[in-house]
Amino acid sequence: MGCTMKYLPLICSALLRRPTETILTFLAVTAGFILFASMMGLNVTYQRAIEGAREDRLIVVSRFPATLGGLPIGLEERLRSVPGVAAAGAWASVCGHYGAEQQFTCIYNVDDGMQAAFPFPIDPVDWNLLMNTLDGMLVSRKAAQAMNLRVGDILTVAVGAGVRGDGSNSWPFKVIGIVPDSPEWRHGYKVGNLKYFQNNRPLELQGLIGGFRLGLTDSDHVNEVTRRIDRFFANSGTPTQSFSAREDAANSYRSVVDMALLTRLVAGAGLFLIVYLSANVIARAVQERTAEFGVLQAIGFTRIQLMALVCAEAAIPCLLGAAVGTWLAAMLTTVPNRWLPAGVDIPEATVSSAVFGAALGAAAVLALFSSALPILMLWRRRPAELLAAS
Amino acid sequence: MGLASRPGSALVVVLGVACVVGVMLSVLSVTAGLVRASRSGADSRNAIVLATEALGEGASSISRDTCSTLLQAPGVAHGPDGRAIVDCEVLQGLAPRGFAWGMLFVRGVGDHAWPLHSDFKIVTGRLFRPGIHELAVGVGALAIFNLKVGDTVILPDGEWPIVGAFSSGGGVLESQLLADAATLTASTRANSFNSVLVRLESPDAFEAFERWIEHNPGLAVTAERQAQFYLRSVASFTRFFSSLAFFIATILAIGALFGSLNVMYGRVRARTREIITLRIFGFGALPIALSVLLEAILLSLVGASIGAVCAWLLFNGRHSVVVNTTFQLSVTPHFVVVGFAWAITIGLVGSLLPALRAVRLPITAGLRETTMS
Repeated sequence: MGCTMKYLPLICSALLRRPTETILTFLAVTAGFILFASMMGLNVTYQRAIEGAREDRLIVVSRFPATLGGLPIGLEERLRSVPGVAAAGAWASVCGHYGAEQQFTCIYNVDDGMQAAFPFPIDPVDWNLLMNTLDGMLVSRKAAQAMNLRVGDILTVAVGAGVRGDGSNSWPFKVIGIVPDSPEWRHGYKVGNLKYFQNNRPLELQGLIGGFRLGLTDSDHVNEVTRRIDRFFANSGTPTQSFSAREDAANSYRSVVDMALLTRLVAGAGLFLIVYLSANVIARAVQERTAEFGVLQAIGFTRIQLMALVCAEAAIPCLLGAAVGTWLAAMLTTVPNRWLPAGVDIPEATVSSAVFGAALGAAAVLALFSSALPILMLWRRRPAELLAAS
Repeated sequence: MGLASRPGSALVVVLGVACVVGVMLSVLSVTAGLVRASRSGADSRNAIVLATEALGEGASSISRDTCSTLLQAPGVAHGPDGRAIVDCEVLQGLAPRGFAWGMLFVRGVGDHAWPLHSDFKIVTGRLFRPGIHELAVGVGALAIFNLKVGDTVILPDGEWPIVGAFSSGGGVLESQLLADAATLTASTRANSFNSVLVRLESPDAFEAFERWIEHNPGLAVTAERQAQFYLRSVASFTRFFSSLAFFIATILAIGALFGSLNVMYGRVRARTREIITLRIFGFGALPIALSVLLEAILLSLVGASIGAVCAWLLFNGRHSVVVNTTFQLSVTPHFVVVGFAWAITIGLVGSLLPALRAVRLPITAGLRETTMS
């Protein structure tokens, strides 16, 4: 306590010697850490999405995806009999535009097996209602809010030519319930009845669906089951390609651009900006107060104590800037999407306690880096030389 | 003189602006590369026909009858042999071997494809032969998916060898493998095409061609200019990367702006004696303020040049892939100019207040300060 009281006035006077400079340094550091925390937070969001995707759930699709076809529904029973598979569900998507603004949407149509293989957070009553209503569709809260859908509404999706058997381009779905969201579907989901999909397909495409989702008995044997399935169907008319839900999540983030690399690069640029700025400010402050350090050394301050003073002077704006910058990044997570044009979407950054810790750690390292040169300068000069500088 | 003094603080402005411009141009190189690839692969006389309401080539299905009917459409150009230059194409996706992400597309083309792709050139090996299970690979796919001439690709009917590599002026086609359409459809048991590429008599013939299609709703197809189609296909990604670049650059610029303000205040303070002397000699407020502003702008421009050169050296010409389209990242002059405009703004705004302080320095107080120091 006594020690703190001894140093505190010195640090405060150093910081308040040029208040404008201190405030501007703090603001620059804050801006740098907003970027750092946003980018690290974005990385956490991606990592969590990948880790949140189940390793013990498999997705099976056609190895050679056809334009309108896919895999025969008949494979479902065979997939259920593969050792290691606990449950299987079939799906097919109806994608197209809706509304006056021609927004894009997809309805994920499933069969009854899906609730065991890849469960949605839907209660049994709603699920049974969906399975018993051909043109029904359950919409999660997030999707319902985004599309302004309510129970009883009809959503008509404009689909491509040849998708429907009757030659029509319109595929109507009736909202029969609003259900809870699932973390696996970032923008919410709309789930329909696979029978409705199949009944409306052209004759030559009936029985062909998008793919299957499988629940496994044991998550330790994912690769084994994957290989078993793909080998089993390799020489059939419909070879398959299987992968875990986690692999699918990782691929979806990698397929646009390597987001992990991009976020780290940008965060690095932010830190580089801060380190050079704060190093310059500290170097200038130490240079201007060389004589003051000489006096302090003359009245008994050790070199180590002087180094600690310089470090503290650098650390305070850095740590404060990191804390405020990270807090602001946490407050601003939804801003990018409000600012971005329609149809462009960046996931919300997860500014977790780990990100906060990383920011503070980075700030401490930056403070050390920033004060390294001034410390070296002080270290090399004797008290008499420091005093002579006045 | 002002620039030469205190090079350390000058470097703060230079490197700060270099960071802003460098990061912005690096991210924008994706946007520019995608747009360039879209434009390079397209000819203004080409039109692409897709199924009505199809979300893209992959989701489009066009029957053989429709394809044949399109040969009769008005405005369609004819070759020296008198046949309409129309190519019914088929697209087959497959997972690239050794890659957990991305999709590789095999495009089946007919013998009329070549006049439609004027920049098409075989760079290694030879072209596939019709009727035989052979492929040619685009240089983009070659670079990204580690393919080479002599490799084989597994398709439904077995292994197809890659017999040659081609370029197409940096266009979208370079991301794909090419095969004979008839052989590919037989192999994949497809009974329809994905798209029809049409050479028109002139770019102006598009309207007549489009009208004819609209007046034949039974065809259930829509026509679009090829360049417009490619640009529309990548529009959401170009918007995403542009927005991301400007979002990141805005935050970095705010940091650089505060840094610039800090440095310029320091530089004005360090030059108090010089500024006071100039004012005693009769220099007015405007030249002194301008000297501060120009100093900051020049430092920012040096920073912008460093940032642009770094972005160009690190990213320009590098192959990248965004959703199955390989392309070369491109640091374009247009975006470099945008980067320089940002740099000038940072320099100007970051030195405005220090410039005001410089012209408001009281001469007597300034003299006292300089005498004491």
